[in-house]
Amino acid sequence: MELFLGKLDDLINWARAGSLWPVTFGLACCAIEMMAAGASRSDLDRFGIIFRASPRQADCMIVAGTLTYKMAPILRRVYDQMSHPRWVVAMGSCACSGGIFRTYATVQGGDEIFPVDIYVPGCPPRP
Amino acid sequence: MLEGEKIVDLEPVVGFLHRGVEKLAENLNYAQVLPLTDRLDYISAMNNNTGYALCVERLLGIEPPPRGKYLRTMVCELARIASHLLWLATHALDIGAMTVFLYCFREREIILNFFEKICGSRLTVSYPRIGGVRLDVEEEVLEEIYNFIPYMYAKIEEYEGLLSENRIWLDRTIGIGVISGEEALAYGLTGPSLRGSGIAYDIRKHFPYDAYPVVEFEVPVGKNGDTYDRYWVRLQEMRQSLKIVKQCIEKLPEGPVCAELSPDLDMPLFKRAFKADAIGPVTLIAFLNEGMELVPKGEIYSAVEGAKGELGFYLVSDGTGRPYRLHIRAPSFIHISALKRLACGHFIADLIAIIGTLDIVMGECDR
Repeated sequence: MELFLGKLDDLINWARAGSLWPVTFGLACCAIEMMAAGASRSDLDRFGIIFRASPRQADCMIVAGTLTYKMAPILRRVYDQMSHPRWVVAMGSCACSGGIFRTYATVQGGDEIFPVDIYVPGCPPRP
Repeated sequence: MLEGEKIVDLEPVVGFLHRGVEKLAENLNYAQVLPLTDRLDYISAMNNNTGYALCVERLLGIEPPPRGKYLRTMVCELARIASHLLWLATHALDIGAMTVFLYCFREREIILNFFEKICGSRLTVSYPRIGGVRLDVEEEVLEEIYNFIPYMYAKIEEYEGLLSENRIWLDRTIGIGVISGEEALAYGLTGPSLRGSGIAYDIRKHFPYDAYPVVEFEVPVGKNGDTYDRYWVRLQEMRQSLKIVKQCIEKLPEGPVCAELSPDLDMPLFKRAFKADAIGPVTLIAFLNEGMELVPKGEIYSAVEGAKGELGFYLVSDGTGRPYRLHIRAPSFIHISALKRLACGHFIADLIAIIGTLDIVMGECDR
């Protein structure tokens, strides 16, 4: 039985790694590069990564772009709607640390609002 | 507000991407503001850089060398093509044509590759600088761009073949979001959104800058002012842009690419003041203590034809090395105000097409 559960666990992990469905949360410039990563040349579909429009169907969330205080509650709600297990990728300097926008309106890093698993620096990171 | 599926009233809420660019610019010197302008309309960053650089040049009285002007025009037009390609891709995707999305991104990647070869960055380029451009372009890259032009003409034909006579496309675009020329003017629409309504207003023609007086191109104009006409205008504009790029490469003069007097990143060490021998042997500290003007005082508004419309920069200078106030007339912000007028009376599904046709970029709209 334990062997079976272990194998099942392996199978599920394999399936998760092979078809990671991210919910797109494109906020600014990085969203364009995220789209470019999903489009023709660097085709994300070949890794089984298919963008979903709904947080309920997604495994991970890619936060691409500058996060402002006005947007933060909405982002938090989307994060709360995702089912477990869930991961968050902060894409770009702005989502990681606020980037060059050290102003009154910008959240200085997405990790103030939700836990971030992977930080991808760059302004914007290329696909 | 809805009535069934019909839109009766609508109010756009902006500000979700308000990053305080204008306030941030007041704490930076003139050359440091330039990278911020990349992040306004991040789809055609070259146009933004050029617009800002042009405004500062007019304030300081710097004239870029001819090669710099031609290169700037060339990259601006390439950026315009990239922007229109992205617009066509997302607009078609919203309406339901997935293939066009993939096709457009294929060509867009080629243009972004050129940008990467020219300046090392794909999206946020900061290539046009105050007084010219950053670096010269290598001959091989120019040749590649030149060879790309006929290829791109063929690809535009391909998009037209996919969409222009496609019945679904026609049903979704003709008669949607109609606005007459006078009304479009009253709402302050500019760029392809205005030209789709039949008014040939183009800053490149009316208030030419850089190399635009020298190159030949036409301003395509629509008739009905609906979504289809705006789509048609943008496709024609891509062709005209290719024409301009071709002329720029053919006529490209030799020489320096950046003006000698252009300010570098340490703006207080403004070369112009020292080169002019106006202050003699005094040190910088003494120069600043005397309260002399680093830049001319005054205010200036200058506009360029961005990919979306009239992109204006309004600068107030108080003589220090930093802008006292920078206001950006973003076309997206003004276009979004016309959304209510365009969308009322249509179905919800058409709202997507109308938002798409106005070509709104939120980074520029909220600043």
